[in-house]
Amino acid sequence: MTDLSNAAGIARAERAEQRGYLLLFLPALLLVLVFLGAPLGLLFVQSLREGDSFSLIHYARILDEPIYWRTYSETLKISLIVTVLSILLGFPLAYAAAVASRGWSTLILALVMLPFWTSVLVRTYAWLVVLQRRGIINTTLLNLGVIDAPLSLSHNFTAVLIGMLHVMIPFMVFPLYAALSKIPQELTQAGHSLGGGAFYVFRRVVLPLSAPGMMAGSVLVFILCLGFYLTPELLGGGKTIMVSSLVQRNVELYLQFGAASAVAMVLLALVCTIFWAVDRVLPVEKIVGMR
Amino acid sequence: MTLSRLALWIVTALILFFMVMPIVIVFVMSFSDSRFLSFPPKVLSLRWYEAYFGNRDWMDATWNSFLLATLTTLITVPIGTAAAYAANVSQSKLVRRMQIVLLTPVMVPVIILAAGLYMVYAQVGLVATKTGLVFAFAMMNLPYVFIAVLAGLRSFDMNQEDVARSLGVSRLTAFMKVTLPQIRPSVITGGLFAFIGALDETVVSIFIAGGENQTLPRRMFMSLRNEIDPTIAAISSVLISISFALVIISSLRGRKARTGHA
Amino acid sequence: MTTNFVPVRVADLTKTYGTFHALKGVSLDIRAGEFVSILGPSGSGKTTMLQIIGGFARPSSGRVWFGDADVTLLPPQKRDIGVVFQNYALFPHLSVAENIAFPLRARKMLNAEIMARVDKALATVELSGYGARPIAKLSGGQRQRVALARAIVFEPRLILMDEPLSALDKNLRETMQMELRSLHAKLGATIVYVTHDQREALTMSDRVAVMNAGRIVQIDSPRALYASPADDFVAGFVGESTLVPVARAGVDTVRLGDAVLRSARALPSGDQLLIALQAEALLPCEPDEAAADSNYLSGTVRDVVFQGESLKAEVALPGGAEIGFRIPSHHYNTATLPRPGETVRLKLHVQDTEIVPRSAAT
Repeated sequence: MTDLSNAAGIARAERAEQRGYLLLFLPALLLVLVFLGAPLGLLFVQSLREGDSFSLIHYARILDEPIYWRTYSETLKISLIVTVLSILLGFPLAYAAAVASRGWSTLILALVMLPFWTSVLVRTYAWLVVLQRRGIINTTLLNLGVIDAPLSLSHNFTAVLIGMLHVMIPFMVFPLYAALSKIPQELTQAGHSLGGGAFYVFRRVVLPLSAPGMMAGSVLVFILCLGFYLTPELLGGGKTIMVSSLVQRNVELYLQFGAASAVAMVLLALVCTIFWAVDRVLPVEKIVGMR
Repeated sequence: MTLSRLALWIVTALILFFMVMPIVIVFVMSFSDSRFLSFPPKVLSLRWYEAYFGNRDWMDATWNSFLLATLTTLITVPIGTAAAYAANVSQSKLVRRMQIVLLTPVMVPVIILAAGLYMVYAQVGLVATKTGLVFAFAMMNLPYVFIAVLAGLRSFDMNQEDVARSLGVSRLTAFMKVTLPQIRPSVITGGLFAFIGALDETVVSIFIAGGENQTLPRRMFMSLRNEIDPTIAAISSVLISISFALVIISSLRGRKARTGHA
Repeated sequence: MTTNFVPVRVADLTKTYGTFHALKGVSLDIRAGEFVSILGPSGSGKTTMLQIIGGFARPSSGRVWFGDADVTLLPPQKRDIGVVFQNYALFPHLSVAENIAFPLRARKMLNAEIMARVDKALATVELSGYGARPIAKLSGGQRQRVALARAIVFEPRLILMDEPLSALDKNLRETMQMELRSLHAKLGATIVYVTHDQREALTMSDRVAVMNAGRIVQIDSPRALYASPADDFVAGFVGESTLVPVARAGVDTVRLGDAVLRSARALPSGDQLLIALQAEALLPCEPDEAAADSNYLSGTVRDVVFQGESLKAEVALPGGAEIGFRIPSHHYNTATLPRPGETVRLKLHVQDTEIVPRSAAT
């Protein structure tokens, strides 16, 4: 008599299939677990150690010493300003690309893509060339006789802002464009035909419907800013130190691995908190563009 | 055209100018004859390209970066594609939950990755080794391959693979002969992201590259810290051209594949 | 004619997705060379059934046999089945000929033999000369034929079809139904055909299995299914009839309002009975007509709707139930067309008087 339910055999086959998928998944998982897990684990352990024993001194120092505090608040401030500015500058681009004809839309997006595909280092160099003491703006103005002495345009807060903004705008434009281009033309036309003026339609129809894209772009830009290293380091001229520079200096200059680890852990906690806080409306998969 | 439309176009043009201008300037300056940065350059020359291509150290760093980027792509594309395939077909909760792990490298700030990798590598002797660099770059760029291929698979009709199997081929053959040719644009995009990502990776390089295993971005960074060397403009122009050539070639290929004449 | 086609038997199939029971114990016997349709609304489990027979999904329990071989755990590539999906699942990166050659190449046949077989298959589906075309350049009907050619070219043991005609327009669909029938006769193929279109199922099949909520409610020849539905679900789904509750009045009679209706068959068991009234089976008649083999109903005409080849009149019975009857739309009828508000008398043959029990599932 055959076992009609066949349950044991089916369960075995099912497990074998799932094992197969796991095996396909495993190399990628191991790569991340080892080469990301080990560094994060070591940072965590070292942040809690002084010499050979357990200690909270590195975290205590972050709380006690004003230089740490200032760096965190400065980093948050810059990140916030860059995020707001990238919305202000990114929105017109995304909106123009969404309402323009196909050809113009492609051109706008291509011109946003050009810097996006250019390395951050190259772009930072470009701004150095433009803004430096003997950079293009100063040389040109001097040659034209507009000014007598070079203006100090780089190695300050503004230069860092400009450089970061230039890097971040594409990250804002792409999700915004995705949201705006999904708004059907009929909807805005309906708004107009109901007697709404352009501004009214924009405020009541376009803006609310673009909110998800704006939200995704903002979270992405803000988090990228928090850990940004290259541009502040090169354009800030050592004056505007962000958290990332603090980590780098503690590692490479002072060999203070414990302090560097604690600073990194607090930064990581900050980033995780943001991801966690927005998770309900905006899952991570959406922010990184998986859905 | 209404006034608000006109305003929109003017603002858009200005912002686009802001986006593109620095890159154009670097391009133009790379052909300057002068050590000083006056714009536009008075005399054009290729002296900065000569300075780049004629310098042994720059060439070594460039060669290293291209080798590392190629190895990174060769590692991430197969394992990222395998993981995306598993994530797409598996019903297992375990696999679904672990997808998020594959995304963490893009969520953690690069400076943290760099510092952590440096500390780990220092203990196991991987600092300034090709092995250490390749695995670090592979880990960091894996999510791009994973995301791109998964997106491709999600818009792919899995019935085709079922049909192929019912017609008598194994699952692997069905994937290679039916699925892969059709998701190729996604795989190429993912691989391109990984290649350019590894080629441009600077922060992690600053921490864990060096010595014989210098990378191009790290050498550029070091040189930028000291002074503005116009050689960098020539190198930047080369890098921009390569990135853009790759992007354009792949998007043209992708368009060709989409219209059904592969 | 000897063929590879085998009988198919499934026994006690269940399939659970989380808390959803897609199949709740399904058994089915299909003879070699038989054309069996699985008919049901979406969510009834018919596609799950096909997935399991094809090996694309594993049942939660139960077995599947092809002939004497238990294939429950066999992957699709070892089952020798031809499958035609709703969207055809043709390989867009291969030409027509390469699509059809795919199963032959998988079987490592010689090139010359492959060419010969592809040509023959193309001729069978009347697409000779189309081999070099890319898939993108084919019409819907041509794609359908290529999918069919690919499914039969390697002489499979069984052909599975999942709503293969639903993407075609009405005329083409009817042509293809006829062609599928003749192809079935020519090949002697065992075919399992999944559809939600009752007319399609009745047109083509030797037998139809009607599924509802994960179970097979009835499996019968099209005629038997139409004439004696097992319950109100089958009557509603297959016959497109209006179901009106009736009371048991005798061994073969029921009461509907004032009217007593006689069926040609004994009533089914069960507390709740319904009469399945098909619009085509009701005819208007004179007020005084009284034939022994007819049942009579009266009601008020609500509306008359032009539907192309016929007119459909809606009638409210005294009890409040709404039923419909159909009048061919030609000019002989226009003079005597019922008008809204008029009372109309309808007759129903006792052979067409279908009394069904209310189904357990709904």
